[in-house]
Amino acid sequence: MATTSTVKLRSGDNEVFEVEKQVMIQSGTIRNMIEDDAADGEIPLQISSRNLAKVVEWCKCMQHRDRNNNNDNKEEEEEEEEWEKKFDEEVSEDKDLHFGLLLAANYLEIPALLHRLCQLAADIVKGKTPEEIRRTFNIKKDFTPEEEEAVMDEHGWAFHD
Amino acid sequence: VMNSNPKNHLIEKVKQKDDLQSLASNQMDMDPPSLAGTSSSSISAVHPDIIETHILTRLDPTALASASCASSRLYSLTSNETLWTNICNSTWPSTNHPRLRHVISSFPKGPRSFFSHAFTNPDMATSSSPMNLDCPPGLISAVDIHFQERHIFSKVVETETTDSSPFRVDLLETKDPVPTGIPHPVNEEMYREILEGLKLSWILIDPIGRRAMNVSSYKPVTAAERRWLSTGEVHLRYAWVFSAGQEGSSLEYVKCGVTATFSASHTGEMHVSKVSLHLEDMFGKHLNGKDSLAILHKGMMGKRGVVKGREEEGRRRYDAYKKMRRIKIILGEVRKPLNRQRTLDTLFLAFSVFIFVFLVLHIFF
Repeated sequence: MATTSTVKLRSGDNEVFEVEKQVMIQSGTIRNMIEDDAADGEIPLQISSRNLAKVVEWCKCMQHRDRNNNNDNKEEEEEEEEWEKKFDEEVSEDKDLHFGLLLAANYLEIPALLHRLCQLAADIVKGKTPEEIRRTFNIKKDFTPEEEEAVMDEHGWAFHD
Repeated sequence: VMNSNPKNHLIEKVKQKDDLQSLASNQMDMDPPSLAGTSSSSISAVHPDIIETHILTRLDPTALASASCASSRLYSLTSNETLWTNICNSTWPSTNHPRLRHVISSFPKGPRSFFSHAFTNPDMATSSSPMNLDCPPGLISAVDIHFQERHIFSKVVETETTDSSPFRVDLLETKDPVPTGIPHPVNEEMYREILEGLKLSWILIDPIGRRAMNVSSYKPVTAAERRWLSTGEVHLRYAWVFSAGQEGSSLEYVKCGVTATFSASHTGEMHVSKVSLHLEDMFGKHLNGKDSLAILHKGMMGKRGVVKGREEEGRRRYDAYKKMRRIKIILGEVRKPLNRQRTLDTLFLAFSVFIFVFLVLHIFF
């Protein structure tokens, strides 16, 4: 049995976050460590403090929401929705944060967060031309002219005016 | 002790170590991304598995096609056949038909090529090749009808066209109507909602040449008749007009016309009772089987129209075709009597000359 109710997470840049275990069991990786009694010391994570802070914030909000699921507290519900909306906006506008969190959510095995971030990424792609996608996601065009012609032949219908 | 309210400071910073020896904070204990030298602000830093299974699967067909043109890495990530099979099946449930599954797998890049073919409408038939009247006679029609994004009808029909009678593909016998779950319209508003919401896709497939195209405008171009209140039947017309011959010829533009009939049932629900396809030339003449087959094959080989705004484009083409057809028919009618008149005039003149000469001869001799 674990002796404390919290778990200490150390970010890649050596910031330590103490979080309730109940919050962090949303992460498969942390849950396994807790179950294996391997979470008593600090858990070193290769995640920047900025991203880790955001992950913890997200987990807390979700746990809070799940716990209050049965309550019909309109006010709190609205606040949570507001928080999620702000989260979506912040992530969509900040590629570093978006992809940093994607990597973190995958590494920490937090499916709900991973799916949310992937949905946001998909929403960003929608309605964009290949050039816009390249610019948005910082991708280099690496086709040879012949390859590009073939690709355009195949999929040009999707974005030509 | 823990504060569980997300509004307050959510992060408990316990202590901060001074030794910031860590470097790139986002690089993690996982397979390195396949493209090296990228920062986390590039999608390239994201594990290909995540892109493939969680992001690409959330894209609509257009976004997926667009993404695949962004880089060679994304192109290869979007090559997964299952991805395109799923897109095909969700766009057209008819593609789940065993016969179609087999045909689709025979396309050069399987469901990926099939999708690009079947999602696009012909713009201009190939002009380089002469009319090939020996096309393989087999055609597959795969038709799907959706009402406000809800799938209500699918049918796959294989036809052999060999004769010279008017070309026509009929999907249903009137005896076996298909329920739609849509209530029969009882007022103008409901009727308009049906007009707006009923989308029809008609994919024509050449299983031997492994090509396909869509010949529907998706949205009705016009309601065929407005007798729906008295007859209990709603006739909807879908059409696609494309160029299939030289300027001025009767095939300059041809119309693929689809008529869908929805009839009222005793439960008040509408049934799909008839869906058919035919081809018309510039004069509105129904083209025969042989010519239609040749034109459709040329359409499949030729240039495709763009997808953006194609519902409006379908209607625009249909309206332009109707106008041109009217002009052609009027011109045709004007020309014919003119010719006849000229013949009569010539005959009359010849007759007058003959009489005149006859009279002159009669008087003087």
